[in-house]
Amino acid sequence: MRGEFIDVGGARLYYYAAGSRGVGEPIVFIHGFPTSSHLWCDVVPCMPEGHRVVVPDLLGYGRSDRPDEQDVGIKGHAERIIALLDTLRISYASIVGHDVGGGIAQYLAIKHPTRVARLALIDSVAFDDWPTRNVKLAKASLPLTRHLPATWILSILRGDLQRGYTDQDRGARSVDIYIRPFSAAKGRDVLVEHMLSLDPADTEALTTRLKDIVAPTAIVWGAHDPFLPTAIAKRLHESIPGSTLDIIPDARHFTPEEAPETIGKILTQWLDR
Amino acid sequence: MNPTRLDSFRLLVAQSPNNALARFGLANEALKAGLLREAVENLQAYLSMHEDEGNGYGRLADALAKLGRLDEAKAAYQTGIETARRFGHPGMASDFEERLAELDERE
Repeated sequence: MRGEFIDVGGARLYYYAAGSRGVGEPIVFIHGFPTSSHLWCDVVPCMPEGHRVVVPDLLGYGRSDRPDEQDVGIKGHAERIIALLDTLRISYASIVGHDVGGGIAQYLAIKHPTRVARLALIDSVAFDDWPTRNVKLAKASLPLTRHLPATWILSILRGDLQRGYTDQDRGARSVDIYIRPFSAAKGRDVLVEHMLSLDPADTEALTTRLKDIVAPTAIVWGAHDPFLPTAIAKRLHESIPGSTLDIIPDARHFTPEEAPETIGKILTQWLDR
Repeated sequence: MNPTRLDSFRLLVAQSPNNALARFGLANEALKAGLLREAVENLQAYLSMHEDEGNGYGRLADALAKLGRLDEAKAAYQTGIETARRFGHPGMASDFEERLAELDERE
């Protein structure tokens, strides 16, 4: 894997690339809130040869720049992914999204259908069934809490995110990585901005267009996802024609970390479709 | 080849010939199956009814080039370059320019 920074519309995004150029379309992995490209580190080696793999940190996450008044909602991230693809000279790619990244992937498949060769939604936000009750409460209290020390907000977030892992040790290590960019005052402000941008109206607006998705679509879910229940997966499966649905037993929300080999197998089959 | 998806899109296009995205979907499945003529026919239909941002022209050009219809392929790349630039996709335009140059070299 090789990582580098790239200027996209005046912002510096980090991404790492893997795989090799071949006959297969490139694969782009999009993480969600509040994770980073680290989410995919055990899935990427499971991808078959012949595909260029691109794994970005979205703006304001991981090693990418903090936003400077740019849109960090689903549309803003999606249009930056298109700009990233343009910069990397990728016209047509298979898109994999997790959590909010799945919302971004849905937006791409619907608004830019000729750029999306295949679509995979893993424990994805959809419809108006997100964010979780805890995140809604945290958002509602932001006018009071947004100026509290970063450690306060991060302690709440850490506890909530841990629920998304079956393996608590693994979860603790990954959550440390994910929340590191949000420590200190500037990081806290970015986190607040991300939370304020978690808007279910973005995916609700796509609901009636899901039936128009023509890309082969795989839906993959942790059986015990505490944030986005499997009912969302089933509804997505019913809404997107020809989609496949795989529920992974013993996995919670962070399925790409908890079951990378299973995800790898499912995505390998998906790449043959 | 995925006959199920191919057949599904053929049926969809038969039922709704003016559904641009169904045409695009059928063209993609035809490309995967190596059915280049069917792909070309459906990409042309898609482009006639949908405001594409460039990649549709690129995929059409690729299919035409594989069929040996080089003049038509070059014209499709050229339209793709202009369209990609108009929609703010300079990287895509550069990619098509390279493929166009490769076609010129082949002649």
